[in-house]
Amino acid sequence: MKRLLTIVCLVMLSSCGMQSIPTSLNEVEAKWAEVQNQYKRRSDLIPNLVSTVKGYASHEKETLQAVVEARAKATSVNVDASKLNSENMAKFSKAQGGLTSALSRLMVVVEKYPNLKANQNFRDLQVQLEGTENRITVARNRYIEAIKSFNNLITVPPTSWYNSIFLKHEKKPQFQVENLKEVQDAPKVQF
Amino acid sequence: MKKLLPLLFLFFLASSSFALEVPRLTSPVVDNAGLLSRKVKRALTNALIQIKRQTGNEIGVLTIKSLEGETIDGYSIKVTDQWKLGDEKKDNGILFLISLDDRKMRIEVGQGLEGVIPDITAGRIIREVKPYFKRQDYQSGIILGVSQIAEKIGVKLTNAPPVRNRRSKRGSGIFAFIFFIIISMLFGRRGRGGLLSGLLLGSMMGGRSSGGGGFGGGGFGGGGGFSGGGASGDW
Repeated sequence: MKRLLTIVCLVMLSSCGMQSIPTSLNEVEAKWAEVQNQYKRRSDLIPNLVSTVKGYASHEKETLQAVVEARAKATSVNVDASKLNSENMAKFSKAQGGLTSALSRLMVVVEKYPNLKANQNFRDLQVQLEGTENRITVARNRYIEAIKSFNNLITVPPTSWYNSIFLKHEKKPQFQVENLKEVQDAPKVQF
Repeated sequence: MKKLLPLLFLFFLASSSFALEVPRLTSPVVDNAGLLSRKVKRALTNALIQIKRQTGNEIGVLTIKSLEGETIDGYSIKVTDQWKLGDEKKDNGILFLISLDDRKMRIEVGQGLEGVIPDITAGRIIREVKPYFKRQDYQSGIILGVSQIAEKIGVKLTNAPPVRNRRSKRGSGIFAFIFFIIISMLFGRRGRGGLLSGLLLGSMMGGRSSGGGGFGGGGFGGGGGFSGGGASGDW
């Protein structure tokens, strides 16, 4: 009888969120780390990109300067996974969005310089940049998925009961795109 | 229950609106656009199965007619999320995706191979394939692309790109090339045992059509993860 009771208890506990909520939270943290990782990857590319463009298009100072400044701003905003709230999230996506639009302006300007576009180094950088943008998209989508299942766990019964009694987690903010219009025309690469 | 109904409805709506489905991984070469002749497809399939046996890396080729409005990057990650090419721990899968009507292609590189084939390398392979696709020699282009990928992941090749001559259409050069993929692995690997049986098995699997459930094509799709590495291009 005692054994049966333990089994029943275990079954109930396992479906109540005791396991699933922390697991899901870890998932969210991992996915968020990946998002930041990919954004960092992008900003690591920029010094190289800027110096390559400078060599060919030195009088595009303003555009280049804007990229450098946006990068500085973007790298200064880091959000720890435990401090994910909508305010921090907005700050983060605004900073990164600024960099995205500065970069896309640069890529438009670059069209005027055929020599630069033919440069092997620049073409490689373009491919890398495009790859990074794609990785960011993938990481963001996976983060969104992770948040969705976490939020489901803490808001949809029966797991939400366990959460409201013991864990008291709050809903995590979804990824917001502040400057949607600018972000939508992310740097395009033509081979 | 009340909550569930709209959810269910949404689900059906969603599954019908995201129309472009991911085809089943019935073989390492899924040629839905019909760009490859039967012979080449079989030879390529065998080569890919061989590469998997030799190196563990899984290269998949998918050709489709059209993306139906999706982006090539988005569709590619959708395919790799379902096919899961590569080993679960090593994430060593690669997808070569070609969409005919959109004139777009992508090489999607699994996480574990991003060091071996960084985006730059993938981009260069695409640039080399492009001229072949431009003159609609898709077969040679695909073979060239796959063999270049194979070369990067350690399958030695002893032959130059397949069709040098612009005029010669789908000549014997292609077959010689595939032959070379296998040959170079036979000798390049310092005679590992069981190769002959491997080849035989490979050819049997390549010849088998997609009957029954489960994975065909030598157990491709082992759970490899992709995070968006690789490169895309158009022609």
